[in-house]
Amino acid sequence: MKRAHFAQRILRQRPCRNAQQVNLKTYSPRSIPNWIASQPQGDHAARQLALTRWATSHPQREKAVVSGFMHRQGKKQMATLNINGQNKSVDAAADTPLLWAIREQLQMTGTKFGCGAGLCGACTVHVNGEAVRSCQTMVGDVAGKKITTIEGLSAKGDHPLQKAWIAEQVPQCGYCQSGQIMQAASLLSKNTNPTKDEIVAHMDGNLCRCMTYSRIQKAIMRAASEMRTASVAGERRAT
Amino acid sequence: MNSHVKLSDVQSTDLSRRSFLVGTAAAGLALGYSAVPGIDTAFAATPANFDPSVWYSIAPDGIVTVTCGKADMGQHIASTMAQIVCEELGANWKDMRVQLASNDPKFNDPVLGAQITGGSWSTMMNFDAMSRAGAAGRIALTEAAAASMGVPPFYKDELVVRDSVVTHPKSKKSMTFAEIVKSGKATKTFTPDELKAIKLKTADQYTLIGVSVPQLDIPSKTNGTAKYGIDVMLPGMVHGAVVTPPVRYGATVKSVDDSEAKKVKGFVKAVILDDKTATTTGWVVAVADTYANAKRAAGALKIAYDGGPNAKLSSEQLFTEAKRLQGLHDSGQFFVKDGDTRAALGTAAKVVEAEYTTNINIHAPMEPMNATAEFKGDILHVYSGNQFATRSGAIAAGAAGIDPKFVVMHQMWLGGGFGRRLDADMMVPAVQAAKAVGKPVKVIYSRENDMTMDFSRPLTYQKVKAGLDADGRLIALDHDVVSAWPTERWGIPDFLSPSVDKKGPLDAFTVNGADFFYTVPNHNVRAIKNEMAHNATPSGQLRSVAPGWTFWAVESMIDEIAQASGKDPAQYRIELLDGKGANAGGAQRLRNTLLAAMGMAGYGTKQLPKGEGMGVACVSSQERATASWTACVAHVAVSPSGEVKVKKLTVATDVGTQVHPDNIRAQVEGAALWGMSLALFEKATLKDGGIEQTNFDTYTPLRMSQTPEVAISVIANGEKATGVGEPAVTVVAPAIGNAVFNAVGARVRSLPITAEAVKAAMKA
Repeated sequence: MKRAHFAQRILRQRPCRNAQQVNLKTYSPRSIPNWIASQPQGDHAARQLALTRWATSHPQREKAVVSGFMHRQGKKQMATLNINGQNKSVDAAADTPLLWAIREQLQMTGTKFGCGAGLCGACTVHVNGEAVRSCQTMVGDVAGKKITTIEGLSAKGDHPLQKAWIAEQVPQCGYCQSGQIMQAASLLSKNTNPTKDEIVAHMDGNLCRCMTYSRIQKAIMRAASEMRTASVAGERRAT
Repeated sequence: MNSHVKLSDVQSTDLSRRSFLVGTAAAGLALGYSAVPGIDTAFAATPANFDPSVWYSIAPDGIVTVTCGKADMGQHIASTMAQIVCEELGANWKDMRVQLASNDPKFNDPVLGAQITGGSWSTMMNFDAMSRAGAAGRIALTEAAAASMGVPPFYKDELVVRDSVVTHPKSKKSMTFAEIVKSGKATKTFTPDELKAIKLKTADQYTLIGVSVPQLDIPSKTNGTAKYGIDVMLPGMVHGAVVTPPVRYGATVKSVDDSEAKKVKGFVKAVILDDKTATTTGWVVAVADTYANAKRAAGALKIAYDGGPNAKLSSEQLFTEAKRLQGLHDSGQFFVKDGDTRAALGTAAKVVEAEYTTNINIHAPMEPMNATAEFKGDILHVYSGNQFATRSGAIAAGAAGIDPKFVVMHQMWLGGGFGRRLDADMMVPAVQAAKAVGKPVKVIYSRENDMTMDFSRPLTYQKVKAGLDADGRLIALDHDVVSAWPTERWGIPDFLSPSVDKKGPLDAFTVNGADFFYTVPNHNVRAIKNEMAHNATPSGQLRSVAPGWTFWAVESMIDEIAQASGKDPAQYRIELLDGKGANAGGAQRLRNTLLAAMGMAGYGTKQLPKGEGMGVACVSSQERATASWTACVAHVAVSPSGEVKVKKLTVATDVGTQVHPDNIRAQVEGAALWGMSLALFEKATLKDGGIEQTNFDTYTPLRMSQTPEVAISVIANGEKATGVGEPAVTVVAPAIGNAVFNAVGARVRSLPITAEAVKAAMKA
C-alpha cells in the first residue's frame, strides 16, 4: 500500500465541513507544505481539511483567526458555544481546538482525543448536524453554530444507534465509540437506508484499534432499520 | 534499567492459605479473602476489624458489586469476573455491578502474585478463586436465610437460590438477598480447608456461564460516561504536555530555553524529568493551565539535546547486529534442547533453511498514554489506566522519591491496552510535574509522543534450519530467535525463566511458542538477546508477545518443509501433531481445531481462481502451559503487482470452557484482525535512533474498508477455560504468508508482507 495515498484517501472521504470554518485569505499558499498542495485541486474539502491540520501545528495562525464574537473579560478570553442546545461560556482563545474546550472547559469527556490530526475520528462531534473532527475545528470557527456531542445525541442515551451499539455489543475498550456513533449519526440523519459500501465509505476515517468494525456495521444497519420502521410508523399515525 | 525501583509487596498471595470472610460492613455485606494468611474466626465476628480483601459486596438494596483487580482494556474482564461470581452466588445478573480495584496486594492475581493483566491469563487464573468466592457468599446467605425463615439448618439443602432470592419451596417462604443483608445475620468465616471443600457447580449445572449476558461496561461506552484515565479531572489541576527527544532512548537534555513559552498564556513551568527509574530519557514537561496552552508552551520550548549512544542507529543496523549474533555459536541461551540436532541435520536427506524477520510494531491504543498525579499529604495518588499496578506504582514512587507503600493507584477504564499499559513511563512526567508545581497535574501524550516513545514489539530476526529424512519427515529443527528482551527490561527476576543449558535466566517472552506441540525428535530453540536493539528500542509486550513472531517463523517453515517434501501443508501438520510424549492432549486439540478451520473454509475442496490461494497455520499461544488451540485458514487474492487482498479469515479456537460466547467471538475476531493488521499494514522503523512514524498517516492500522469477512468457530469441550484475547493474533500472519505462497508461489519471510516483497518473490 502506498501510505501517502492512503492518508489522502481518508482525507477525501471524510465528510467534514471544515471548509466553512477557515478564512482562506489569512494564509499564504507558499507556506503550505507540499503534501497539502498536492491534494487534488478539485477536492476543496480535503484541501481545507489539510490546511486546518497544518494550521493548528503552526502557532502563527493564532493571530489570523477571525474572532469577532470574542469579548474580553479581564484577562480571560471568553467564547460562547452553543452545545447540546445550551449556550455555554468557555475560557478559551479562538484558536483553541474545540475538542479541548469541550473536554476541559465544559468537562464533557465523552468526546475523545485520539490523534490531534484528524486521522482517527475519536473526537467527532456535530456542527450544524455535520460530523467534524473537533481536534481540527477551532473554537473561533463555531460561533453561532450548533454543536452536538455524544452527551447530547439523545436525551437518555437512547438514540437508535446507541441502542443498536448495545444490542450488537459493539464496544470493546470503547474509547473510539463516541466518535464512531457521532460519525454514524451524521450518515443516518440523511440516509436511513445505507448500503454496506456507503457505510464503509462514511466510516473509514474512524479508527478502532480493537477492530470492532464488523459490529459497527451491523449496529448501523440495525439502527437504520429501526429508524425506517419508526418513520413508517410515524407516517401511518399521521394519516 | 530500573535499578532504583524495588517492587514492594510482591508477597505470596497464595489464597489456599487464607480464610474467606463474609461480614457485615458499613455499606452492607462484604465478602473476600482475609488480608493476612491464617486469620482466625475472631476477626469475622467483630465487624470493626473486618478488613478482608473485598472481592465483592452486597448492598442493602441487593446490588452486588464485584471489585475487579484486573485491568479492563476492552476484553470485558470485569464483567467476566462478575459473571463467574454471579454463577455460584445465585444472583440475578441485573443486580451485578463492577468496580475497578486500586493497587493493593489484596488484589494480586492469585496465581501470579502481582497485580498484572496480560498473557490472556485472567480468566484461567481467576476462575476457581472467583467461583469459590461466589459459592461462599451463597452458602453464607443461605444459612442466614434459613435461620431467619425458621428452617432448621439440616433442611438448608432444600433451599433454592436463584435470581437473588433464597426460596424454601416446601414452606413457600423466601427472602431476597437484600432482605438477608439487611437482617445482618450473614456473617461467616470459611477456613482455607472449608473453602477448598466447597463443591462447585459442574458444567451441566451452569445457568450463567456459557451465556452471553449483556456486558456491564458497554452502556457507559455508548453515551460518553465511561471514565478513562484521560478523563480524570481534579480540583486545582493543571495540565502537562510532554516534549520528547528525537532519539527513542538514551538522549539527555542539555538546556531548555523557555523564554518563548513564557509568553504563552497560562504557562506555569517547564519541568525537566530527572528519571532515576530510567524509564524515560531526555523528557521535558510543559505545564500550563489548560492542555491546549500546555501544547502551545511545549511547542515554544527550545531544547538542546545530547542524542546519546543510540542517536545514529537504524532498523537496518539492528538487523545486521541480530544476524551477527545469530552467527556466533556461543551466543544466547537454550529454551529447548531436545535430542541432537547437529547429528540429525548431518544425516538428514534434505535440509531446509530460512530466515524470518519482523519489524518494529507500535501498540497505538486509541487513548494516548496519560496519567494524573496528586500529592496529598504523604500520599501520592496516581490516576491512570494501567495493566501492571504493582510495578507501575513502584515506578511512580521511584519518580517521586518515596516508598511505594505511599502510592495509591486509581484504576480507570483503559482506552486500549494491548500490552502498552503494562509500562509505567506515563507515571514519571505526571509525578515529577506534580511535585515541581505543587498541584495535581494531568499529563497527556500527543499521538506523536505516544508513537515515537512506544515500548514497541521488538524487531526480530529468526533463523530456522530443518532436517528431513528420506520420507520427508521432520527429524530436526534448529530455531534461533534474536530480539530485544521486553520482559527482562522489567527487572523482575520472577518473570524470567532458567535456560536449559544453565547459562542463566532467559526472557521466555521472546521465545514462547517455539516450544510447539509438533513431535520433532531433535529440537533446539535458542534465545539470543539483541543488546543493541534492547538499548535503542526499549521493547514491550504487544498483544500476543513472542508467539506473534515465533509462530510466524515456525508456521511459515512448516509450509516450506511440506513444500520441500511434496506434501499438503495441512496434512503435514496433522501428521506432526501425533500427540506423542509430552505433546499428548495438546497436539490432538490443536489438530482438531485445524480440521475444524479447514472444514469451515472448504480447504482443499474449492477450485480457486488464478491468483487466489488458501494457507493454513495452527498455534498453541500463549505459553505452552497456558495454551489455547487456534487454527486459521486465510483465503487471499494476489494481484500481479503483488498486492495482497485478504478475502476471508476462518479461525477455529478451542477454549475449553466458554464463560461468555459472544465476548469470545468479539475477542477472537479483534485478535485475528490485529494479526492481519500486523501482517500487512503496520510497520515502524528506526532511523537516527528515533521512530520515524508519528501518527496514523504513516503508521496505518487496519481500517473498516480493509476488513475481510472473519468466520469463527469456538470449540468448548469442557476443559478448563483458556485465554482468548491474544492467541488469534499469532495465527494470522503465517496463514496469510502461506496463502500468498499457495496463490502465486511467492514466499515472503518478512513482516509486514508488502506488495514489493511479494512481487520480488514472484519473480524469483
